[in-house]
Amino acid sequence: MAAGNNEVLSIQGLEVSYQTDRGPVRAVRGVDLSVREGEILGLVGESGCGKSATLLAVMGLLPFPGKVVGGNVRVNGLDVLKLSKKELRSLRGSTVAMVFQDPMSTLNPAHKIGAQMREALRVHGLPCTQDLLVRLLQEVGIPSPEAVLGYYPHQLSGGMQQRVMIAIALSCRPKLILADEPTTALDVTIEAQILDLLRQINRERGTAIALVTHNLAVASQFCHRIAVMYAGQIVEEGSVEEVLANPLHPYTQGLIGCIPRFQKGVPLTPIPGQVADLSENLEGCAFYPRCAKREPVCEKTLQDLLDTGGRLVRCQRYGYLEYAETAAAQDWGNE
Amino acid sequence: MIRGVSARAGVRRKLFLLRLSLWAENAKTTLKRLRRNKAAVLGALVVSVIALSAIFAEAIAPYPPDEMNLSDRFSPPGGKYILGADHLGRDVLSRVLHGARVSILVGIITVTISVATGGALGLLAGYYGGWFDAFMSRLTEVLLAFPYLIFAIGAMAMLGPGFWNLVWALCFKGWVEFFRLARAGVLSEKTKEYVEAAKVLGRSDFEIMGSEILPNIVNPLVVVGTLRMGTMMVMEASLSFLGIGIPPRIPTWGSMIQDGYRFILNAWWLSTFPGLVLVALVLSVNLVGEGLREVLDPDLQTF
Amino acid sequence: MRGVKILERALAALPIMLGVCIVVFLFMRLIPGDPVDIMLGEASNVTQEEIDALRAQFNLDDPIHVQLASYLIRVLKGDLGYSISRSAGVRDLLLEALPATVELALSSILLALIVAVPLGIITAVRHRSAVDRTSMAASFLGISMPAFWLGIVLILVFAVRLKWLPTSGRATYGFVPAHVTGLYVLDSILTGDVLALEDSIRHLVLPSIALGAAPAAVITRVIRSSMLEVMRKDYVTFARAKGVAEWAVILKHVFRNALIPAVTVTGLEIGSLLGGNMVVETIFGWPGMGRLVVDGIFSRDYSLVQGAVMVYGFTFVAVNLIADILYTWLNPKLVIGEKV
Repeated sequence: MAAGNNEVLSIQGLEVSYQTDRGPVRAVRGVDLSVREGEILGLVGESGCGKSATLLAVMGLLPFPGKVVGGNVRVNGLDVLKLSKKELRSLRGSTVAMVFQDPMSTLNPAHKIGAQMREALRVHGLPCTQDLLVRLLQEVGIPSPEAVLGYYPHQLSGGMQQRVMIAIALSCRPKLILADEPTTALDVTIEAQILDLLRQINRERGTAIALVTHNLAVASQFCHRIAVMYAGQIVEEGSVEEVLANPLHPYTQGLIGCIPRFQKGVPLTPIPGQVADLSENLEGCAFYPRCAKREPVCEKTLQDLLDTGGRLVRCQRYGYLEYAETAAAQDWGNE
Repeated sequence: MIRGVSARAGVRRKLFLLRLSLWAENAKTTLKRLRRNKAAVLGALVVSVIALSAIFAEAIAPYPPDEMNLSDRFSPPGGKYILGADHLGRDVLSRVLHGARVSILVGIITVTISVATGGALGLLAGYYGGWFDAFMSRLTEVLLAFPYLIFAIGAMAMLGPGFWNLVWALCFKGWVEFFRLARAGVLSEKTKEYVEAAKVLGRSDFEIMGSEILPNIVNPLVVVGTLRMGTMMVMEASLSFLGIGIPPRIPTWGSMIQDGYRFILNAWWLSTFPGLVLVALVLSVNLVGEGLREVLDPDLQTF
Repeated sequence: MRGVKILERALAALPIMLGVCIVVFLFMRLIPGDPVDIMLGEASNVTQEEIDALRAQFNLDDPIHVQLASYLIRVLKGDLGYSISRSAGVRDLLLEALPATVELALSSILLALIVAVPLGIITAVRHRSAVDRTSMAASFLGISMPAFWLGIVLILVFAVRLKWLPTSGRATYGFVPAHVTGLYVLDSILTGDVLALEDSIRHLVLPSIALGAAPAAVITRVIRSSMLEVMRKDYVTFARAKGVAEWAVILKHVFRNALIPAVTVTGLEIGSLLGGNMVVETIFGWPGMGRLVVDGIFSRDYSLVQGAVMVYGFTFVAVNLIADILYTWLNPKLVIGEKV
């Protein structure tokens, strides 16, 4: 199904901060993001870049001591951050559902599959007949669903557990699924199956999906649009085809250089250095210390996201106009 | 040849000194981190004060602990007797100070014996396995089937009162916990690379156990050992309270509480003060133990 | 599958019970001198028959393995020996004292759980709050407080000064309910005796607090720490993501899983409770097994002490077996089935 124009999720200027003993860690620093109806958006980045924190902030589920300190989040037009606890609960699971990384630790080991599925329906006041549960499990491709309802999670394999989790996520017919690395803990063959399943759900029901992944290859096969995150900021955004064919930001270029190819003699080019320390207050470009194409100006000046004809990129190399202005401003300040 | 031997001995001595300085370094950092824990520092302070007053009891105590002034029987606290006098006209403060000796000695001696025996047996059982391990493990299971105090009471019933009888009665079961801690530690350590490496280098079993494995499993022993000092003190007091621990002629807090308990309606101070000091001491020992746990082995489940 | 596991555990308790018997038998070897002579020396007005019975019971002239064998056979038959100080069979004496001890132990552990379970949950949910800090400090005090000292303080405050509750005994004279089970509270409920019920509860309060305080403190800590551990798990976040209400997340998802380790610890805590009951029974003049043993020690009645220590050991093994079974029942990971 093609992407509509209504935004199911829109995030503006989201700021998330973790209050630690050594001061605040700014995990998300002003993220703007939107997912349209029926669209699959990929949020790509290294671990610790704030992509999971962004999703959890949407659900209002940031773990202690994380907190949203700025911006706003709208899900289906509702301002999530202003909702009461009760309103937020009725939103969770029904309008927007979440699929987690490690299925083995995401299903409660003490309750049977059937009970966990029923709970998801019951909290939103939906009927939960045996037939419905069986159909839900069938839809996600679980063999002998009647029996599985009576199983405990540990009696299922990881792939099956992930299917159950997706079935639970789908059970209230959400408009948006937030998938946090849903295949990272699985074998490659299972990964393909799960991604197929998610794609099929998207196609048949028009459920929008926001997929968080550190794996650009997965994102490239699966998503319509991708946003690349680095150090709590979006550094590049655009359609999959364009971003992959012509990555603009040096970080995206670096990520693509890290994907193994099945060709002899094409060496991998790792990105040097380490992920930026989020407890520090960044003045300039967060990627500056690792950037192959850095210029002196990048160290002190933070580039806004530039719109280069439908694509967004946060790098001063594409905004000479702004560059001139900021450089002038800086000179001015130095005098 | 001779030079070779002496050179090797030299290397050994150097290694030993190196290891010693490492231990000292570790102890120093542990103390440093412990100092940041206010509760543990307070606990250590209280323990030291009580320990010092136990050592110098003769010098501090205003009266000999068993001096009776029958005319002063049941003198309330204040005046001539700061903490009052008991039913025989003995000074409660002096007896509390002397009673500290028994508590502290019992705590230290029983825990030392228990840690040493339990630790050594656990090390051997875990390292060699086999029938020895199987036998010891069954034995500890059986001993664990008795509630500790019941076991000690049973043993004391048979042995009769006495300081050393009490120590033995507490140690009969005391070593079990340390055996299990050490054994579990060895089992998880002995498959690690550094042990394999030491074996390949041809070091003897005892060298491996003593200088490779032991330093890596000693932390939980230290933590639980400290906490058990408090437990042992409580047991001693309980047994002495029942009248089957330390013989009555030696002042102990437990027997003082027992004596005072008979007169609780008229003279509250007889039981109250030894009880308060006992609680303070046990609480402080436990605070130090918990502080050590946080520094040395945060994941260890205690209590 | 669970049934097999449970049976396995029950069978594993048998060799331990045998071990308990052997250890108790060996206790006699600790006695310096001839135990029968010592026992007879302490007792007065002993008949020749009693002396013969005692000699036969200990058959000290036989080699040790014969002694052990005959001891084990007697235990199997339910014969725990003869109490010279009370001129009665040890088994009958213990059975007579058992209801009092059981009543006190049950009410203590019940009290401990009533306090510890909600407190453990609250302190975990309100982690690092004032409630949490205060409760943790209190539980630390509870752990460090010897039961006999706590008992004395309770008597001093609530019985002597405030005169709210009786100082000792199980019941006021004339208020003992008709005998049904021997548990006074239960008996007075069964016979509808309201006065006896009130009286027996009033007598139970202080000893139960003295005996239950330490287990309550330990169980609170265990529930709190395992709740905190479970709260970090993904399945708790997932439950919230499903839109489950917070109280249901805490009870159905967190507590249900935190309960599993707590069950084992509660079983072990009952052991320390059994140990504490000797001192607490002595302080509160509670006519149970604990006091029987203490009296037995002073009259050098070794058979009585031996028999009682064994019964305590057996009880503890049985309690831990129950905890084990409960653990097996609560922990679905022990349900073995085919992976799909």
